Amino acid sequence: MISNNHKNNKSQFIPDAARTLVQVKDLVHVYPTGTRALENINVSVGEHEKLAIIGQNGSGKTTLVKHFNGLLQPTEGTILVHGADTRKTRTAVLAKTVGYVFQNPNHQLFCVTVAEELRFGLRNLRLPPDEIEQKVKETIELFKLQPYLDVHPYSLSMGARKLVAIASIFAMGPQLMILDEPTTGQDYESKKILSQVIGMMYESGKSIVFVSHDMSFVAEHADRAIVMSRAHIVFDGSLPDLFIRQDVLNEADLRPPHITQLSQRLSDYGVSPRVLNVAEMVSEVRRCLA
Amino acid sequence: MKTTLYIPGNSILHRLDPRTKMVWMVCAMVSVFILNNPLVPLVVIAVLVTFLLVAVKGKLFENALVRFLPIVILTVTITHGFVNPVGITPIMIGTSPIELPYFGMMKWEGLYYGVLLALRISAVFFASITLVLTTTPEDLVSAIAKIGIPYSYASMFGMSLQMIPIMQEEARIIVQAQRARALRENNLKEKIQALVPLFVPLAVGSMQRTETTAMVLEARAFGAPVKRTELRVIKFNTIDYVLITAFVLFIIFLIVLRVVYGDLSWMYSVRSFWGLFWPVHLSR
Repeated sequence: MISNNHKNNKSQFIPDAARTLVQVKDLVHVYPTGTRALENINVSVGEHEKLAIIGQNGSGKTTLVKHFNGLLQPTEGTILVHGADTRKTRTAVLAKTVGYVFQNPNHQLFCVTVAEELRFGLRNLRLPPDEIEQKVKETIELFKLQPYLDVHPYSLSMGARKLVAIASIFAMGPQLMILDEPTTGQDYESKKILSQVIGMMYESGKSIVFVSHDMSFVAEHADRAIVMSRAHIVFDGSLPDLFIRQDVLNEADLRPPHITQLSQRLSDYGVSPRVLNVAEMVSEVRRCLA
Repeated sequence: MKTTLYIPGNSILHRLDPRTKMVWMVCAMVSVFILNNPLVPLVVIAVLVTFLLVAVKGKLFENALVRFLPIVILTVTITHGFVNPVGITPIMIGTSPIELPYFGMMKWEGLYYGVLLALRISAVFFASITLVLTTTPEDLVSAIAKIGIPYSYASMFGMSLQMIPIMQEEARIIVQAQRARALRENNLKEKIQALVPLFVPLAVGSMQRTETTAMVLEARAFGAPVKRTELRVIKFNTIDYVLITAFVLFIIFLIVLRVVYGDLSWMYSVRSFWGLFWPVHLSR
């Protein structure tokens, strides 16, 4: 039900103030080296969104999302997380609302077992022991981690390690999950599991923000896309709208997924050029042939 | 991301043969220990810092080690002021001495020794980073190999120097990654506990990187039993000979001073702050 409702509202992207999770106002970020990584960024992330941040390497994607939980502080402008200014709130506090999964799980994992890894964040939040165990149990079930519980995280495959890193953040119960380049170095099987996990987290009411280069993965999972190029946001809107904006695609050096390119080529025959996946293509072709 | 300590430029220091800079480094290190006189390290530091500022400008102060130096200087000076057994004369502020429980009073002689030592450490430090900051890692490695050290050891040295900034960057990311997991670091106990989640990923990461590097080197025929050729040839110019002569003459001059006049220390007559750096009582 929830996802259906959301799909109908696809065109309406500005979340109303009460449901805003992260509000970024006039953000500028200059690194100590003098690099201007972000210029005049205005964006908001609402509750229960699936948002992809796309752009070339060095366009400022990761720098932007690192502001969402106070890992980086703005040079100018403000970031409000549930109304709290990230300049005045510690990352450890913001972590309750905003979960950030780093690109490389090796940077996050350090415990001797997967179960310990899940407990670490919850302990940091000072939850009572029974509540910690309850949340760990739920997370294990949702992420299907039962076979790995007593395994050392470093002996897991890269895909499973990524999953543990995501689970360890998810267990802390944030409303917003940020995934930085979730598909890098993942094989097809891991990507499939990752897709299920993203779907599961979204169904459980989270907002998902992911930084990615993988356009078919983006097309499959995001409802809204932000395109960054040379420190600026050059597009903020729905994916079908993005894929017909040739100027934006050129600027950010992006290609629509093959299935979308195909639908655009076939638009002369009456196929909608806004197709995002195979299922949509099949129904479009059926409609045209009928 | 910066992967070396080297700061590019085209100053005199950059154009010198790395071996000249090594001689410079050794001479600077030796010179400050010949006399027990703080003026020698002060002069050496002044010369080194002037050259460095011309070569790399304000970037000198972006170096993490340079930023750490004031702490070293303060620690050494204060510690020696209190505990060095050469100390006899207490430092008086008005009529009261500077006193710490257990350590006792701060003494002029100890402070003189502390200042001397701190200046020596700084001189040695600036001499070393002159070499590292203004020499490309490639040139540094070939210079070390040219003075007779086996190439594999030379490149090992070069690679470990390059590891420092890589590890710094890695550590920064890991701190962020753990903060995103609500890592607690409010008081000393929590800060000590926080070292585990920071250290484990850093150590594991560097071990993995070392292993990968070893394999990459082998895959690229490092250590093949053939005579190596060089892409960048380093050689002495006139300026190199001039400078090396100057350094050696400076050392000889100091040794002559030492033999003729002794260690030129005025440790036992220091009675004021400026007296630590200049023999005030003698010029009077």
